[in-house]
Amino acid sequence: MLRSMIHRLLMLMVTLVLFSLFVFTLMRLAPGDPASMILLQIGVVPEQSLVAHLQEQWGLDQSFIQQYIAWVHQIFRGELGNSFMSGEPVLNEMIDRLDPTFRLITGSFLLTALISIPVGIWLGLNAGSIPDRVIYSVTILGLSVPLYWLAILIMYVFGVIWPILPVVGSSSALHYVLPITAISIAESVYFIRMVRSYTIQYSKFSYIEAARARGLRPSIFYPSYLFRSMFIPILTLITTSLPSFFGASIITETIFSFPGFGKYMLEAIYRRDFPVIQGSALFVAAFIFVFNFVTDVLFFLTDPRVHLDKQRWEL
Amino acid sequence: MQQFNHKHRRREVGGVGMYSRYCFSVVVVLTFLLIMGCSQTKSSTSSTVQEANKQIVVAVTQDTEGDKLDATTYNGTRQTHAAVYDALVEYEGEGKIAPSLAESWEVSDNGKTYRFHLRKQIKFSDGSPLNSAAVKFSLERATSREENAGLEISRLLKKIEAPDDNTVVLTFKETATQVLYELSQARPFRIMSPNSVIPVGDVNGTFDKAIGTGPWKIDSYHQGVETVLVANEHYWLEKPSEYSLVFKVITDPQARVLALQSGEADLAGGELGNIPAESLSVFQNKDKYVVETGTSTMSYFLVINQNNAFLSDKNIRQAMNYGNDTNKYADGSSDPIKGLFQKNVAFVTDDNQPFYPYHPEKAKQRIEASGYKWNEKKQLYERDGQILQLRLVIQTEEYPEWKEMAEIFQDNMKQIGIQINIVNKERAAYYDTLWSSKDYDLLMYRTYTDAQLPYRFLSSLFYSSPSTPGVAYQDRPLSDLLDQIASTVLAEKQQALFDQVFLRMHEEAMSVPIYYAKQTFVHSRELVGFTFNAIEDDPVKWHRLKKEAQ
Repeated sequence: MLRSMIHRLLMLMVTLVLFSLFVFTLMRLAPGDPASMILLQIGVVPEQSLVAHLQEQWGLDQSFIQQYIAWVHQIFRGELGNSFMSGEPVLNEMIDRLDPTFRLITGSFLLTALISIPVGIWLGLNAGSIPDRVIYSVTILGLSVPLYWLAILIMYVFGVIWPILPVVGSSSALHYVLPITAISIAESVYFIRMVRSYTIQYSKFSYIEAARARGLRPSIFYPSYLFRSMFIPILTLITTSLPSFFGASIITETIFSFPGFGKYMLEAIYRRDFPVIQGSALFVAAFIFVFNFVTDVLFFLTDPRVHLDKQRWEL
Repeated sequence: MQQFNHKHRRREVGGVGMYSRYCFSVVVVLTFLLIMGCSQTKSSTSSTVQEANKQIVVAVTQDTEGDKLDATTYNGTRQTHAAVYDALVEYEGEGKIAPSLAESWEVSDNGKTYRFHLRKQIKFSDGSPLNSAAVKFSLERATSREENAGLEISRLLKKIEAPDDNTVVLTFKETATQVLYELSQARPFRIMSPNSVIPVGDVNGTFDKAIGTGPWKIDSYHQGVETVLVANEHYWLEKPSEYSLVFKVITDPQARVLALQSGEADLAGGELGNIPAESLSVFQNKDKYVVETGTSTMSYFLVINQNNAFLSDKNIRQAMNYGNDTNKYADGSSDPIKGLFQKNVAFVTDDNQPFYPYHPEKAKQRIEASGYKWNEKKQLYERDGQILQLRLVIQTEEYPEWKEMAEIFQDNMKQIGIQINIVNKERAAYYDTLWSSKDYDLLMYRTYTDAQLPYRFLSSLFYSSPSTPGVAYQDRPLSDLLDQIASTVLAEKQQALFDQVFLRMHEEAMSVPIYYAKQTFVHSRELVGFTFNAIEDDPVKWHRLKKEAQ
């Protein structure tokens, strides 16, 4: 167990290094040069001499390998470099921006899980009933609605037609209601469908049917048999949906003018602010990797049949 | 049987054990998430109703960077620079310059010495007096910065002298003709107090606090959220405002529309937070909103890549101009397009800017004159089996309306047998195409504004030197004319040269004018006193805005 966990962590490190190289290369292959972008941003004509001056200042005139080594060197010193645009350390800026995003993701994550898992299970157990058919059709509709449009619609309904909630900003708890609702709706429709189909699928397994046939009390049957068997797929669903929550928060932050991490990253991409893009991408990747690692451990804890030691790719 | 029961019992016990373990982990995760979620939802800064009434909220796209608003840099947004800092002279429009902090000035005949007489009794927002030392400090700080090196003042300045408290003399190495225009801009030559930096008065000191003579001073700044400005009680020109001015960052255009509708923003529009044209109908014919339309000096036009085989032919360039029905771009509501520059641009007169009127037949004649044949099947012109087709590069992040305009142009060109393929690029890639890769046949762009027109705009896009080819077009005679303008002081002589510039640009059909931009703002009916300013970088006289209950 311990050995395999160390293996896992080492693999994570290798993946992170490869990932960092990937992001680093991709940034430098993308059209658009940060020096010109910053000059245009401030309304200065990107003349050759100015561009060259900035590139030298940022070390962009060095070779690709040199730049990469310098960056990796920085990471080992616990820094992510300074933003081209603001000149501030990327790490500090990122930490400042994480707070609202974190609340947004946590809030919508909880709301989605708390609502859609019970609803999905209930629908699965009552498959074919009228409420099931109605809600199932609604989820099909929900899946085809883009988040951007949904957010605007919610803002219009609760900010303009029935003005009870603020539509932009993040300065009070009330400001979180609409963005969290928007993300939760978009994610719930997916969750509900998945949980519903798991419930139907798992109800048909022979050991579940046998348990049911034995006439077990519901208080034993559901938690110990049905839900327990469904725990792994639901845990997988929850943990693999994290990146999509992150993606949703980027869109939502832009629409609701949240000064969050997603918006920060998006702006950096527009401006080709390499240190910020690299730093943020690495951070997000590390977060997701660690999250997946914790998930693996959780898998093991919940179901001993899962053997962490014998992964095919580790042999 | 007994055995079975025994086994069954054991499994059940095991099941309950597992269940509690599972239950425990779920509870732990959920509690953890809940604690994190709840502990942080409490937030401060919710404003009371009374405060809201004393605030004027303006929706803007970009962060104001209120903590870094050094007058000599490009940090922050232009309108905040202009709200906090005053310039020595003011741009009045149509090329005219008016007094501001300098009540008068003299320019030597050779254009090498500029002597400014400062207005007396003006104070900075911290109460310290405006004097020649402060002006000298600001200008020296600005010229010492690398990113300002391209500006004429930085390039040609020899020395700055302050013979007495109210006189500043600028001496240049060569004839300088753009000095007053550059001084009038929102940045980087506006005047900042020497107390703004640490150590006080050090030209290379670290910026500490924005202290200017303008109508506003910065009260608070919240990164990515808003900047709150309050009246500068020492403001010298007009009565300071009783309200605080909030520049609130709202990035998404639709969100700006909704914020205006929900009352979270009082005012939005212009370059600083544009309202999409298709959303304007939301605000029209209603008692709740006012739509303000002001003039602009900006034009949209197509940059032509003359290295393209088709476009190196003057006939084709002229044909595109003849075939371009410009009335379609603004549903015929804006002024008819007569040349690249709007008529309120400096040096543009009623008759010195020739243009190609809409005339599709002439367009086709021009194309045929170059040996192209009409292909009946494709409904396009072709020569040597090659159809006449061009790539038009646009971007829609900053200028969403360009998409529709590009489609109208595409349709216009189809009428005269030219196929246009529209390529919509991401912003950074678009600018890379314009400034570096040149991977376009046609590219939609905009002119600069106000005092930067026409000279600075032309010299940065249409001027070729032996080492660097012009960005938008390369033409030796045009560059020579621009060189002559740079060394001409007398306005009449400059006018004669600009007449020739406009004629040359017309004859060679160096661009395709598309649309004359306008400034559109929307505000609630409650907000009164809306007045446009002379320059687009500082579009509104913010300090005149007031709220009146309806």
